[in-house]
This record gives sequence, structure tokens and C-alpha cells, in this order.
Amino acid sequence: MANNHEFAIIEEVRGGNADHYRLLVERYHVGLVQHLFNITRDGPSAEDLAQEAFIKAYEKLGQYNPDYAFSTWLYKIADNMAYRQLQQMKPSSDIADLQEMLPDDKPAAGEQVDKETDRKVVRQAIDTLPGDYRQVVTLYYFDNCSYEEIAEIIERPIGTVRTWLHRAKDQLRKDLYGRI
Amino acid sequence: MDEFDERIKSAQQDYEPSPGFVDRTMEEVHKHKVGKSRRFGFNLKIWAPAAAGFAVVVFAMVFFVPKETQGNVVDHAQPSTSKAVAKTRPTDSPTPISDGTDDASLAAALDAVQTSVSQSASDQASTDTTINDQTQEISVPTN
Repeated sequence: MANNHEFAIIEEVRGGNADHYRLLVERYHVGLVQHLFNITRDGPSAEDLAQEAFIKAYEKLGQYNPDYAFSTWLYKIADNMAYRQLQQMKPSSDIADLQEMLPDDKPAAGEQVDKETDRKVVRQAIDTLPGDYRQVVTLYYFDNCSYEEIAEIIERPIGTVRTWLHRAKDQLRKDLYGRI
Repeated sequence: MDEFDERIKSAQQDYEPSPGFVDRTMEEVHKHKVGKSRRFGFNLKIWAPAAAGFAVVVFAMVFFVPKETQGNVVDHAQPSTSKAVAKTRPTDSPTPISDGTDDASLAAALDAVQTSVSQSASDQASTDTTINDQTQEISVPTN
């Protein structure tokens, strides 16, 4: 739910005082761009999408429901735009590319693994997930959203969020370790 | 969170928006119109179901409401009109039931019905007897 201060800002903007919208942009732009970057893996695209999301939210501010946080609504708009754009693009990597990067076996304890390489491998594994699973993983692990917030953003029941997250983790284990 | 969760979490890439992002965004925002609050304005989520419901009601009124209410008003104070309609209605009954205008025709109709009922009862009894006979004939003794 939107807090009183935030709701007062939104009412001001709805009343025609557009400059108050800057307060919302300043508050959420870093998190939103970061979130979109984790989806697109491209900085300029993430910024463009974030800007479009802020503009679209401004244009549709009359439809905003104060029962939910403004950030949740904003992320929903941004996610819809981002995943629509991703659907139009070809996938940047596929599972075959990922398998080439993986070590033959699970690294043994004590073995020094380059952390940056490991992060890259995990990111690529996340990128190969189906769109819905990827969205849930990104929101849960990177944006620290709760199940309720994710459910609101992706417009699905909480049970579906839990199921998708569980399946996404299984898929990631399978991709990263070669077995569940 | 277990070790695997931490591993996924660590895959997050940091990215800082470029300087001037807020100014550029606000510059674009000023070129657009803000969405006004509209509870009952042109909102398809409200008006589309309402219009569909109205159409269903109209459809039901046109096709399912009895004809009588659409202009053929029956005046129950004038029984002769309805009698005339009843007389002209076709029927499959071999003995038309009288409209009760005289005792003789009413008694005749009643006799016809009683005869028909007793004939039916007689036929049923005959059928039952036949079935029982057949049952006895096909019964096979078991040891």
C-alpha cells in the first residue's frame, strides 16, 4: 500500500503539478534501472525502458490503485515492457553455449573457483530460463520482492509464484550441476 | 536462504543509471499529459461488462418473455373469448373433452375416460400374466 507521503505526491501530480513527479523518479530510478538491467543485460536498453516506464506511469496515473505500493505498480509496467521487448529479440545465449562454459563436474570442496566466472555462468543459466521463471527469479533474488509483491507485479496467485520459483531453482540446479 | 540461493543472488549485476537520467526523464514527462483520476469515465473494465449484461437482459426480454405480455392481453373477465380459442385448438384425443356447457356432453366425456382407463388396466394385467408365464418357462433349475 502506498504510504501517505507518496500518495500525497501522486495526488499533487494528478492535480496538475507535474514537477512533483520528479520526487517519484528520484526515489525509484536507481532500483528500476538496476532491475531492468538484470532483465535486458544492456545498460542503455535498461535506461530507455525505465524512462518509458516512468512516462507510461505518468500518463496512466489516474488508474493507479493506492492499495498497492507505487513501486510495485511501476515495476509491473516496466516488466511488461521489458519482456515484450525480449520476446521480439532473439535469445542472446542458449543452453548449448552455457554447457560449454560449465566445468565437467561439480567443483570439489576447496577448489578455487573464480567467483566472477561463476557469476557469469549463473547469469547465463538465468537467461536461459523461460520468461516467467526468469521474471520471478529476478524479482525474488535481485530485487528482494516478497511473494505478495511478485504476485501483484506478474498478476498471478501467490501459489503460482512459489511453484514457478521452485521450478526455476530446479532448472538452475539441473543446468549448473547437470543433475538435481 | 541456502548456499544455492546465495549463489543465485550473487549473480546480480550492478548498474548505475547514467548522470542526468532524472532530468532527461522529467523533460520527457513534461511533454505528456498526466492521467486524471476517473472512477466512472471511459474505462472498458467497467463499461464492457455492464454493456454485455445489458445486452443479455434485452435478449432475454425479446425472446423469452411470454407473448401475452407483448400485446396479446387476455381479459379474464370475458371467458367467452378464451372458450372460442380453446374450441379451435387442434387435439389428438379421439373423444374431445367437452367444455362443460351441458351436463349430457360432460357425462359422455367422463364415460369415455373411465372406459379408456379400465381398458388400460385390463391390458396391463394381461401383460403381467404373460410375462409371469414366460418367466416360468425359461427358469432353469440349478443343482
